[in-house]
Amino acid sequence: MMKKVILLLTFFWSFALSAQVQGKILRYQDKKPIKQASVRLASNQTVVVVDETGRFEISLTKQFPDTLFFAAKGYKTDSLIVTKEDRFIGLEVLLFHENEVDEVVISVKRDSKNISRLKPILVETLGEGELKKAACCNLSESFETNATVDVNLTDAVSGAKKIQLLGLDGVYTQLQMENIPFLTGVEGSFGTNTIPGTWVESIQITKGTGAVVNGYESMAGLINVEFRKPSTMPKLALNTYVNQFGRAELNIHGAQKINKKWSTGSFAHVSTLQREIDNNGDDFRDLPLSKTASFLNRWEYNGEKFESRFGVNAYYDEREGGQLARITNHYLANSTNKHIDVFAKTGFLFPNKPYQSIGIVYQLKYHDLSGQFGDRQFIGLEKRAYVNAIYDGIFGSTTHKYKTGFSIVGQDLHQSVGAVHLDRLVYTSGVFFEYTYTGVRLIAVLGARADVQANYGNQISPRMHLKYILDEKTDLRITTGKAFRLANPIVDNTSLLATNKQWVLPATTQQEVVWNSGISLVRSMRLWNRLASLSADFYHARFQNQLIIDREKSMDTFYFAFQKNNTFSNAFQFELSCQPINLLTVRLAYKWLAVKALYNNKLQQQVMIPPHRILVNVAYATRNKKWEFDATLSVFSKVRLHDVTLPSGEVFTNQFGTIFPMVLSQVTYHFRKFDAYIGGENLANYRQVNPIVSANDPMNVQFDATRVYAPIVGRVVYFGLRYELKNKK
Amino acid sequence: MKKLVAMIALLAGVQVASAQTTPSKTQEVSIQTSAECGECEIRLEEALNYTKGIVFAELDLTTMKLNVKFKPKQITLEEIKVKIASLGYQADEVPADKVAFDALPACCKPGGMKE
Repeated sequence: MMKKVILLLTFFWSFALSAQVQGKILRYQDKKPIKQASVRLASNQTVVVVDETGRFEISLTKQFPDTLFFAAKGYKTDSLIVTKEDRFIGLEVLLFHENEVDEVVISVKRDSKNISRLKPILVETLGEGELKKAACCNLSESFETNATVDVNLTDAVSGAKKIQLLGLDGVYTQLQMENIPFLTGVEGSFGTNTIPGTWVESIQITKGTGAVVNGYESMAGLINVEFRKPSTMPKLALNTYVNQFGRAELNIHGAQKINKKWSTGSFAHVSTLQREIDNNGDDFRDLPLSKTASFLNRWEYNGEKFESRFGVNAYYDEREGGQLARITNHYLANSTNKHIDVFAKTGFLFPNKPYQSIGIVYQLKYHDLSGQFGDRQFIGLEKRAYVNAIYDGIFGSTTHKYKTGFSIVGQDLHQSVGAVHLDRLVYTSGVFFEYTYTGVRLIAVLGARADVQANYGNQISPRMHLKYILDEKTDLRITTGKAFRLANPIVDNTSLLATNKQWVLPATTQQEVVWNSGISLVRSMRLWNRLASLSADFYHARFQNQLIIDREKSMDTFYFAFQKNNTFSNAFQFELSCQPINLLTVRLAYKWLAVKALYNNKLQQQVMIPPHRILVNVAYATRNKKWEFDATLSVFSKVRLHDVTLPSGEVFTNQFGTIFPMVLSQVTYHFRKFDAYIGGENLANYRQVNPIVSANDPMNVQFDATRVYAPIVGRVVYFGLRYELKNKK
Repeated sequence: MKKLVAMIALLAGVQVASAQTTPSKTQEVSIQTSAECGECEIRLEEALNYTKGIVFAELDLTTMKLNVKFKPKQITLEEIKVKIASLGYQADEVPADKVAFDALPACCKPGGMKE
C-alpha cells in the first residue's frame, strides 16, 4: 500500500514531474483486466498494483534502460524494457494464463504521441519521437505535426511565428518550463522562436484552465515543456541543420554526472540566415536575416529529503526583415531580443510520510525587446520576479488529497510604440487550494485561487475537473474554470505594426478574464487487431473581458478596445490514431474553430482564423529500425480577411483566403553511431499571392503586411545530422 | 498537386529501393536464444541489424526467439548464431560465449527476470 501511495504522490506532486509509464494489464484471451496484477521496476524495485480496471502508472528512475516486470497469480510473468525514449509512453500489456501455449505474442504498443488516460485533466503529451518528426527548429515549429496547436505567421515581414490554442492567440496560453512560467509578458510574441527543439524532451498540452497550482493565466490552456534532464540526458549530443536557403543551425548539449546526487547539463544553440530570399519578387525578404544564440545551464540535486533544480537561461535573437538591402531607403522590420533568467525549484520530502511534500519555485527574469517596423519603433522592457510554494497533503487517506500554497509575481514592465508609453509595476499575490478525490470510477479535482492585483482588481478563480470512467476503455472528462491575465496592448501585438495604419489604444489597461469549459471523450480500442485510440473534445471559452483589435471598423486605423461579455471561442476536435498495417501509424484529425468578437459592431469570426482544419500524419519504420518515414498533411479552410484599399484606390471588401495544404515530410536513417535526416516543409509549395498590400511603396498609407494567412516562402528542403554519445550503462 | 504527389513519391522511393530484395535471395529463420529482457532486445537487435547481410532481426521476448531475415550469399545461418553467441546469448545449439555472458547486466542472465 505504501508503495502505491508513493506512486500516487509522485504523480500529483507537480515538481517531481519525473518520467512515468502508464498502461493496462489485461488477460490475453478476452482482454479483461487482471485484478491483483503488479508491476515492478527493476532498478529500484518499486511495486505498483493495478487498479480495478487493470490500469497502472509507475514512475521511472533516471537509469535507462530499465525493465518493467508484469506479474499476476496464475499468469505467466512478462517483462518489457523501457528506454529513455519510452518515458511517458502508454502500454497495453497482455498476460497469458499459465496453461497457455508459448507461441502467443505479447502485444505492446508504443506511441510517440499519447493522451494520458489516468489523469483527471486531459493532457496530450508529445514525446521525443514526435518532436523528432520535424527536425527544424524551434519550439513553435515543433507543433507543426500536431492538430491541437496551430502555428501561424504573425505578419509578412518579420518572420515571427505564433502559436494558437483553441483558436486563441498564444498570449492566452500559459507556457511553462517544467512548471516554471516562461515566455511570459514581453516574450509572448517572439519567445517560442528562441527555444531550440533539440533541448526539449517532451511537451504536455492541456486545453482549458488546468490546475490552480500552476497560476492564474492559463486562459486557453497550458503548455508545459520538459527540457532534457542532466541526470538522464546523453553525455554529448550534436545536431546540425542546413536548408536550401542557407539557414544553418548548430545545437550542442551535454551532461555531467558529478556524483550520485549532483548532475549538471549545458545546452547551446546558434543559428543564422544571412542570405536574402525573395522568391515572390515583391522586393521584400520572404524570411528575415537572423542571428540567434541561446544558452542554458542547469543543475540537479537529488537527495533523500531534499531535491533541487536550478539554472540560468540566456539568449540573444536578432531579426532583420523588410525590404531588400539594394532598395534605397529600404523598409525595415527588425527586432532584437536580449534575455536572461535564473530559476530554481526546491522540494522537501518527508521519507516517513510519502504523501506529504513542500515545493517552491523561484524565478528572476530580465528581458529587453526592441525593434521597428518602418519608422515606428517599439520597446518592451520587463523585469519579473516570481515565487510559488505548494504544500501537498492528505485528509485521512490518499483518496482525499489536497494541495495548497501561495504565489507572488512582481512585474516591472515598460512598453512603448513611438512616443506612446505604457509603464507599470504590478504585484500579483495569490493563494490557492485544490482538493482531489480519487474514487473507483470518478476522479474530481476542485480548486480555487484568490489573486490580488493592485490597481487592476482582485479575482477569485474557481476551477473544477472531473474524470469519469464510462467503461474500461472509455473516459469522460469535464472541465470548467476561470482564468485571467493583464493585457499588454503593445508588446502582445507588435506584428500589427507592419502597416502604416494608425493604432488607437484603449485608455486604460485592464485584466482579460475568461471562463473556459470543456468536455472530452477518449476511447482506446482495437482496429486491425492493433491498439487504436479515438478522442473528441469540445471547448467553449467565454470572455468576460477581452482586448480585441478591430481591423475592420476603418480601413486606415486599427482600433484596440476591451469588449465585455460578448467574445468567445468554440473549438471542436476529433482525432483517430491507428495502425492499419504493422509498423505504420496513421493519425487523422479534424478541428473546427469559431472564434468570434464584435468587429465593426458585428459579431463575426476573427480574421485569419480558419474554421476548419484537417490533419493526416503517417509514420512508418522499417523492421530493422534503420529507416523512419514521416509525412504530415494539413489542409486549412478559407479565412476571413480584413478590408483594404489598394494604392490605386481599388477597395477589397469581404475577401476570403483560399483553401491551402501544408505538407511536411522527413526521412531519417539511423547509422550505427549517428542519424541523418532529410526533410521538407511546405512540400506542396503553396504560397500566398501578394501577401503585402502596397509592397512597392511601403511609405504609402495603405501599406499593410498584416494580411497574411498562408506561407510566404515556398518549399523548404533541409538536411541534418544527429549524434549522441550515450552514457555507459 | 502533381508536385505534391511527386514529392511524396520521391521520399517514399528511398524506402522502396532499400526494401528491394528478391525473396529467393533472402532467407528468414527463427533462432531460439537465451535473451529474456528488454535490455537483451536492444543489445541483440542493435548488433544484428548493423551486421552485413542481415535484413532485419526482431526479438520476441515472450518466446525468446529471434526472427532473422538474411542474405545467405553474404552471411550464413551458422555465422549469425556465432554472432549471437559472441554477444553472450545462446543461439539454438550454439552456447553463449562465456566472457560476453559474464559481462551482461544481471537482468539478461537466465533467471534474472525472476528476482
